[in-house]
Amino acid sequence: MRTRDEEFTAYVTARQAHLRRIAYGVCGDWNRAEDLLQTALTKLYVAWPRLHRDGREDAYVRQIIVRANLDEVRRPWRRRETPGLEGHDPRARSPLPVEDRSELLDALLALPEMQRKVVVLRHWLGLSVEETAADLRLATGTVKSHSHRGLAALQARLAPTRD
Amino acid sequence: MDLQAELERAIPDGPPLPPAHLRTAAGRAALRRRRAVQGLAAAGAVAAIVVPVALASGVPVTRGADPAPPATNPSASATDPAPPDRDRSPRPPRDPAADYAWADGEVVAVDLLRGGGLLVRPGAKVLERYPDLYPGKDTESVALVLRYRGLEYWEAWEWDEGGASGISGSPRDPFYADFDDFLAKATSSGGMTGGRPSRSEDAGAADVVTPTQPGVTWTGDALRAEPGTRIIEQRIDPDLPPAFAAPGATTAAAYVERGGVRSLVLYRGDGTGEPQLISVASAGHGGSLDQLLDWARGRYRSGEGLL
Repeated sequence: MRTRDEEFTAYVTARQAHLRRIAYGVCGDWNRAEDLLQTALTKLYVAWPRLHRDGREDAYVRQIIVRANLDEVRRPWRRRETPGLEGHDPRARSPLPVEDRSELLDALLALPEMQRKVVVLRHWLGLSVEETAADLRLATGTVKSHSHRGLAALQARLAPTRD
Repeated sequence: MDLQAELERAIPDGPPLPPAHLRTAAGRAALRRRRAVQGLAAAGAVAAIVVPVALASGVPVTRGADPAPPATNPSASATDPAPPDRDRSPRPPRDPAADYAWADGEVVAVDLLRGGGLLVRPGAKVLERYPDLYPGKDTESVALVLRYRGLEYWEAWEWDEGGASGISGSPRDPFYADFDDFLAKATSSGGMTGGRPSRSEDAGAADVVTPTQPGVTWTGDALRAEPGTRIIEQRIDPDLPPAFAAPGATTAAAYVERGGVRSLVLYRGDGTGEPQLISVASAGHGGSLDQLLDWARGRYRSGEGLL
């Protein structure tokens, strides 16, 4: 029988690359993505026996990632550090060189934060409206609205170059 | 187009990942800290301004200037609660908040007996909510701004299945300049541990990270103090590990004091991603910038970081 450390290390080895991409997808910054993932994995380790038994490791980490990032934005001293978040999210800038980014990634990272999160959860990870709403602690109607606007914004941005 | 497949291709893998064993080590350290915190809670080691909550009897303790000890059997351990005996077993709750025995001036409580949820007094309205005050800790926590009977209340709470503590304030309290000041002071105490070094022999148990207000801004070549903040010492390019910032990134560190709370502030910016200021209480981690940087380097080398 494997120990908690062995099980957890095997899980991290198999899943951390994908999980950090999710974090990057919702926050648009590799440094913050790494911080988010580390926070989530640390909490996962503590709660490992229960979550591993139930097979909910990925869902737990994903929820911490999207919620923790929300928390950072809502925290009052964060808000003071990052004025002008509404409408345009400065985190959308990526440390990747421009030539290494795809048009779609640029378009995704240019979305307002909540639209970007909904697009990532709904249209990349394939979560249902209800699952997305639960992850983001939103009403299902709000998820649908963000999804609609996010997709429209992606199409508008990509359309001129995809004719 | 197949958006799911396109997104799968578009989102890159990013920079190299740390070895998995470092993640495991960080988790193991967090688990040690959690157990130490539970041990401290069981010993009644809470800060003087923290309000204890009854764990076993179900009788909430009335808050006041001199918090009463929890109305529990002293032999009952918070980390290893005894199964409730038949006579004390609570009935299935109808509405935990309605059933709760609210004291005068009390608007928020944590109901440990019935699932550990946060209770808001009936009639109170939550105006603002700031969850997860201690992102590096495996506890639940939240700060709230509420209105009840025309008055505004500020609450900061941290809890897990082993215990709960809370700090209350209001705009009427001359001790706080505003809600942000209240929150900074509430979190700088380190929550349930009061920010005090652990008495555990496990050195890792004292390594509690408490976010604070930075009180400084990056001017392009140095950190500048905002009104109310004093920079005791600062250093450009403080030689932090790559886990903090990639080689070539602009980094800085400062030891600052704001509202009686001393903090270590780290800055990182690589010219493309969003610059970040990370500010954590210095209590328990060092009394100089050199000591605090040594501590921060260790946190980043271990993979834990400071967020």
